[in-house]
Amino acid sequence: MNRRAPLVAGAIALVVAILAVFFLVLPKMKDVSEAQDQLQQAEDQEITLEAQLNSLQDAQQEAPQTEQEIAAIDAAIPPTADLPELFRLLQSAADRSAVDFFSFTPGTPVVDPSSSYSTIASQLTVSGGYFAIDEFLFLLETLQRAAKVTTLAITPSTGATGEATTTTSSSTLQLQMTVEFYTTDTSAGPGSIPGPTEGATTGA
Amino acid sequence: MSQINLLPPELRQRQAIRRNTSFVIVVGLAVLALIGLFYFFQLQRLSQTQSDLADQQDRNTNLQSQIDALSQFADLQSELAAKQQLVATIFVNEVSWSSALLDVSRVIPDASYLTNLTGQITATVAGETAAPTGGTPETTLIGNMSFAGVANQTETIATWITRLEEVQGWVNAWVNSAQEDAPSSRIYTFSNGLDLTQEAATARGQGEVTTP
Repeated sequence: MNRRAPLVAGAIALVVAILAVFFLVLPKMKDVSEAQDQLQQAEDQEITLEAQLNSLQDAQQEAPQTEQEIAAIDAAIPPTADLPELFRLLQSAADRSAVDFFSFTPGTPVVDPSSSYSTIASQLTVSGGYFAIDEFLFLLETLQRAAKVTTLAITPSTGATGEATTTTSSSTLQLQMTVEFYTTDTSAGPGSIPGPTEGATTGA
Repeated sequence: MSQINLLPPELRQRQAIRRNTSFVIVVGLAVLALIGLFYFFQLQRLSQTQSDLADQQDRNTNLQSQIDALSQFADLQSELAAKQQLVATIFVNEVSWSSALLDVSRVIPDASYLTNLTGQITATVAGETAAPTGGTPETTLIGNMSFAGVANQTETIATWITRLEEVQGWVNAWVNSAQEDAPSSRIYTFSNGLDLTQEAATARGQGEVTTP
């Protein structure tokens, strides 16, 4: 027998072993590694999905309240200018606070640059006692319809004789103010597209 | 008696080579068997991992279908968030004038009365929200008020100015003019004003409340 036989046998065994490692074991290890990565990703995704599902389940439970809040905001910022209802609300507030609803001049709705709502800047004048005016302002701030007083001026009301009363609490005062009302109708007022127009960029 | 090895040295050498060769072959086969065993384990791991992956993907698909079924509530939440953002935009820097009038009635000295009261809030920039960039609520001015009135003695006007500054959110109280109605009458007609900071804004004006 050849003296090199053990060496040859060893070399053949080594080559076969190396080939087996390179062509069988390593590719399979790579497959395992990839599958484990995919599994890890899927497990991470499950965590995300579970969080999303929990959030949605919470949202489902809160849905009635959410709908109420949306309805409240829709009432505060209606889809149309809805001046008739606005008149009624203002008259009701004036009656409840015992002021005389003297004048109301709704301005032309102006579309906000974001095109998400229109502002109706209106001039409003009421007259009454100091605390009646205070009550009217409070009712205006808590009105069902969103209203923001941007300017106000309180002066003694001019009586029939033309004399001004000057005390703060007992005499009649006149409150002139600019109040902003809002609508999500971005095409409201005279000459506009009739009906609610949300998100449009056309002017009033 | 001496021992004589009759086996030729070549045969002994051949036997040694055969033994070595056999040993190498056995070791080689053992290594290959180990590699095969390792390969088998890898196959098992792969199979198990793929099975786990399939199960996990099934669970994820199930979760996703549940999420899809509830997506309408996500839309509802988004709609509410958009509307709350709108409310926050609209009411930014809103001042409660009813509270302001109550504060005026509380701080005005007895020996004086007002003949005129005005107030205004600064027009807001479109898209501005309650949280201003830079400045604090104590220093960010959002509007002003001005007054005209009549007071007995200058001390009354001084008291009025001092008290105005005590109201939260009312700063920079200033007298524009104070003029005696007649010589030695001690009755003064005055006008003054103050600035309103963001502290004077309502909760919704400060973005703390997002409902109307």
